[in-house]
Amino acid sequence: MPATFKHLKPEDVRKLKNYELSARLMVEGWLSGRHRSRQRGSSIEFHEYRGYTPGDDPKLVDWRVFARTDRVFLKTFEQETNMEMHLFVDSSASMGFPLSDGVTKLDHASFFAACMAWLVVRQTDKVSLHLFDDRIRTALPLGSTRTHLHQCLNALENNKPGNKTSLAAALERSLPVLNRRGTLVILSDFYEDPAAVFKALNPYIHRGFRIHLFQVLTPMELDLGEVGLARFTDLETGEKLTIHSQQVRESYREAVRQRIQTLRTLAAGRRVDWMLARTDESYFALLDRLTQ
Amino acid sequence: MTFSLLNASLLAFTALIAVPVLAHLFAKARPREFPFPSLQWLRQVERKTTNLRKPKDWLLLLLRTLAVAAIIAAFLQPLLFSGAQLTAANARKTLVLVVDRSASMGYVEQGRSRFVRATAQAEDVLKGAGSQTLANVIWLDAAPDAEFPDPAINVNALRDSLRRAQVTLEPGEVNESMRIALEQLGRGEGAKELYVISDFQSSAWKQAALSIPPNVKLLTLPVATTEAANAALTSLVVQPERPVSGTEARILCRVRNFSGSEAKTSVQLAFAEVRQTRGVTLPPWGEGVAEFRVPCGAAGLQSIAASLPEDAFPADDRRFATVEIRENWRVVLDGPAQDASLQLWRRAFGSLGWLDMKSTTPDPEIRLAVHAAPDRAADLRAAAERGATVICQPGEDWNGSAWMAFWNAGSKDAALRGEQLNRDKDKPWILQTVRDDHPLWQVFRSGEFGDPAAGSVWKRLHLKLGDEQTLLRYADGVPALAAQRVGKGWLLLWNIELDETASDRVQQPSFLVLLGELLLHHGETGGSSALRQFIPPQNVFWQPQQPVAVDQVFLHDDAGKEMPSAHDAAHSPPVFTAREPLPSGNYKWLLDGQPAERASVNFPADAESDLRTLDPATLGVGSSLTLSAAAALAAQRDGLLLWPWCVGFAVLALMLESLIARSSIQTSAA
Repeated sequence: MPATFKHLKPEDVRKLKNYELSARLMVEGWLSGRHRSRQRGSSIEFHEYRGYTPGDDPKLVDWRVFARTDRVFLKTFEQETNMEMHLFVDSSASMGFPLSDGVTKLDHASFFAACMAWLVVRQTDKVSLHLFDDRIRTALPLGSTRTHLHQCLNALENNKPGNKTSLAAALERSLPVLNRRGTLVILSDFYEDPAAVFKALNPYIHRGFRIHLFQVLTPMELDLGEVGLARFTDLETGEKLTIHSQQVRESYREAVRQRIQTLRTLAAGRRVDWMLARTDESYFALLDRLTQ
Repeated sequence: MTFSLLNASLLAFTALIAVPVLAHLFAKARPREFPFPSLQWLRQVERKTTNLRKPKDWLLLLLRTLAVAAIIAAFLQPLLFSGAQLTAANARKTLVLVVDRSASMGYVEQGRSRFVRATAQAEDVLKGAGSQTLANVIWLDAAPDAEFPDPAINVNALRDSLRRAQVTLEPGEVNESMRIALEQLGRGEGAKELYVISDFQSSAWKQAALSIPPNVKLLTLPVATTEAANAALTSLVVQPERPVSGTEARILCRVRNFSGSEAKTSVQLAFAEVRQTRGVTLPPWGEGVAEFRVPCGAAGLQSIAASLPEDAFPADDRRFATVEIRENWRVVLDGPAQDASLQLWRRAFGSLGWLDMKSTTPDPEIRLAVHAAPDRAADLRAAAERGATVICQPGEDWNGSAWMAFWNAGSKDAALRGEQLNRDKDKPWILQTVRDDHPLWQVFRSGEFGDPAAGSVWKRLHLKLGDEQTLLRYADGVPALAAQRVGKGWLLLWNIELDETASDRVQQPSFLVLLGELLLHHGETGGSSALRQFIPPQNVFWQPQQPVAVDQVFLHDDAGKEMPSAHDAAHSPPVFTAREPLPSGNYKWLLDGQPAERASVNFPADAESDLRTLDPATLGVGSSLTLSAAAALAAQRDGLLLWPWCVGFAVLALMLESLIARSSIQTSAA
């Protein structure tokens, strides 16, 4: 693997070799015996006999049993599945907020996404990548090859902050193409109505997707900082607001805390995993928690 | 209530009220640009805080606008009138102001003289006069007079006069000024008000007899604010009054302390080329005398100036005098022509160069009567009373009446008895001095000039006198030489025969010295400061003894500055007078460019230096106003000037604005 990918550094790869995605993260089963799926399918592992019902594939009828008992039974086998992870990376304008060293919130999220993709591919599981703002801007289908990984990393590298955030719209659009249940990893700052987000997530939840929400926020967004009187410019809408940061800081902190709490409560109620991804902390801390 | 603007021409500047509004809108601080991921949450909190912050901004804007408006209003000088004031302002009435401009009004209190305060008060009163008010000003000085013949409507002319008026050096004639004021009011119309603006100097007002008619409202405005302490030079006395050239004159400067505490000061004297300073301690309400001894130079008129260190009332800190220095003393010898003693006296006087012997002259300084007739006794005493030094050697025929008329002592019936020792020249009457501490004997103490009592006497008059008047006496107590102060002069009783058959006194070397000292100590010792002295209101004048060319007479002060003068040709020779009252100082009349006469103008210290005042309420008439009450009265008449309120309001608004702005910044910082 060339070490020229912006969002996957060689030292990160060295660290990632010590990680393994745990079974808790899996939904459909282990690949090659590790990911055991409850779905019936065609494989060499016998699962059970069950009676024939009209519409069943006649190929599955066990004729030997029929010959001995004169009853029609179907012989079912356990389906062997790979893990499927769908990475949704918010690429709206708000993610373009600059951090130190010339990186942005989007870069921070991309670092994490690249690590996740590398881990999944390394385990021969499948990963897909969805870059969205108010629409799906880039969607790479599931893949488990190194080539696919490179495509993902290139897509992340070429990605730029775009328009307004609309995660709900992106999820709604992706729902039809995600046939099998898998793991959704969403990296966003969630500058939209949490109710709308969870409304869009509900179909995924009902279909058994395991969902991990990573809220990417900078310390400035959490705390507002001491910038004094400043004209704040909304990166998404271009709106301006003159305000004295010290004057509203307390209120702002409280507002952020409430907003996070709302998102967290909604997530907990739906067995959705939520995690705050502070940009001043290493994304490996997220991996640590995810792989525990 | 009616408003009026004194500076309505500045009305256009009210547009400046918009300045704070515009500044508020456009001159807000330009915050720096700060990109932020989303304003979604900021807007939420901004809505909460706006409700708190915005009113503060508007309050600040309001306060700033009000402050600017108040400052502009202050420049416009608004006046507030009530309807009653406007009605009163248009009512007909007569206003007479008695303004004190006597010398005491020159006292400086808190940087302004009493007179300046008085004229300012008078102006305030006149400013409030309505358009129908008749007014007049009476000047309270030595010769009170009215500014207008009758109260008139031209208040501005009176105000102009007040601005130009100056304090005089004259005492004030209170009763006369009040008489004129009431007379003026009697000619007025409508309501009558009499304002008396004065320091109410106690010495001038305690004798005032005020009788105010019931239809006249008297208002007194005292302008003295403090208890004035003052030291004044009250007199300058020269002894002798007309000293002789080459002798020493004594100058006494009397300084009076017009305060309740002891004071120390110094008196500086300028006499010809002499400058001397003496310290004086002045007891409370007491007097001190500084004594100077100055040599008298060339004969003629000489100016003297004495001064104290300048205080808050400088007018009485200087005193001036003119002294006439004589070439010599005139002596008239009187006695029987062939009298041997007289001849000896003549020779003795002739040897004293500063005596000019005349056979007859009016009022000589020294008169000698040898063996005078008894009927001359009264004349001799009268001459002494006029200021002459009379040396009298009574004749043997003097009776008690003559002696009584001459010496004013003894008894009419007591006869003077002549005594002569013819029997034995070896047993003469021996002289001896009495009162050894008398200054007459001072020159003899060294022994250089002999014994003043040396010599023998064989002939004398038998007299009896007390030792207090005797200077020389015989061993048996009979006076040989006695002196008595009489009026302005001296009577010297000489009871020593000079004839060589009667004594050897003339042959003693101490005789001439004794004679000279006797004359010097009992010469013209009466002092005077009244010589050519003018005390205001008396004006400086001069009448030459002979006709002069009037266009060659000029009046100059000591610095050589010509003072305006006039002459009255109705007199012959004409009388020259100063055209205006002159300030204190020495002056000289020049005739053909040469000093012909001198004059001194002095402050009326006796009347005006005591600056104690009395409360006008003690006068028992009218009502007394304080300075602030007078201002309030003027304000009532003028309308209330609102500019101080505007300024105060502006200051208050700015202070509030500052407090609110500061609290806002502190909240932000916290």
